[in-house]
Amino acid sequence: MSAAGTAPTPRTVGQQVAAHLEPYLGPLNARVAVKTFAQRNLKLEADALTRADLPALLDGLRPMLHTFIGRASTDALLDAIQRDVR
Amino acid sequence: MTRSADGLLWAFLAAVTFLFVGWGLAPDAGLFTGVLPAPRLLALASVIKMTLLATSALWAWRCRGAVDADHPLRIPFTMLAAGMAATLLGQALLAPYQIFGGKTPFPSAADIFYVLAYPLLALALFRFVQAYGKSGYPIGTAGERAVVLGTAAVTCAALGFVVLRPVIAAPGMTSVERALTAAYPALDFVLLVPLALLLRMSLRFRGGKLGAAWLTVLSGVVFMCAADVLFAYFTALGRSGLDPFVHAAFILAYGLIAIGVRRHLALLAS
Repeated sequence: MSAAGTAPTPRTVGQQVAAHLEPYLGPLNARVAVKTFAQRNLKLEADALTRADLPALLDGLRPMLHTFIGRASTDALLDAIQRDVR
Repeated sequence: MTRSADGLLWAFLAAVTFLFVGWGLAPDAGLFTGVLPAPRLLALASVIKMTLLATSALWAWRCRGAVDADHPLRIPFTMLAAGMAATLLGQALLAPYQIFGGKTPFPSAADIFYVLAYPLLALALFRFVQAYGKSGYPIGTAGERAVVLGTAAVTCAALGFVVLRPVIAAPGMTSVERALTAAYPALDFVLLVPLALLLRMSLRFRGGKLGAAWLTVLSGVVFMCAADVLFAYFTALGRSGLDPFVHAAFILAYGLIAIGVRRHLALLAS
């Protein structure tokens, strides 16, 4: 429960992944990245992603992130997504 | 590298930029006629520029080392380091004259290295665009990129005409002086073409660490171009009294590039 007493809005898997990418890619590109690779790798809309789709989604994101932020940051980021996204 | 180190770099850059802008705006102020007269400020500018150039070259080289041997950013970071190192060599050749003689010879052997830096920096920017394009991220269709490139090229050609005409027509310069004075802005316009592509991409990344790193580096390149144009104009017009603004623009340019490259390093080496 939030401080105001209302239940927090549940976030989709796609939104949670985008939230992890946001500090690196910015809010706009984080959403675009999730949308692009969900469609490209899974033929799904970002909102339809489930936790079972994470491995394929992260496989799609890995080469791009590797180019953008290097291997160490990519590995740490994808591990955090794998661990935190519910 | 910590956030406080980042803050210190920004504070230092702001302070020295304001110092040189202040010198340009109020050259008769007590500070500039007493404690910091023109020869001392020229020596200070020389040392600051070399420090910032050495730092940016070193950090770009460390970015190269922070990625795998087959990483697509390894070559562009190598070229960026080489471009900054070439500029550093040029500045280092001028330094003895500026620090001990209070003057800047032009033209000189330093210009060889300054000119050499441009193709290295332009190629680095093109290779960055290429690497990001191959990453799988949609940075725009080939048509969209062609439009950006075409627009940038036409804009640069128009600016080049406006900027270069008075420089070429200015009296009292030798042919070498004239050629070099015109070459710097012309080379800058070549640099602005890949910069337009990277800027377009970076604006999409705003709000994130990658966008912040790129926007800082590219702001530095823009200030470097502005400094070259100011240098060309003031040299052609014989307005040496405006040199403080040229120093301020170069210091800001080199500083922004250094800070931006440091941000890339923080991303790649974390």
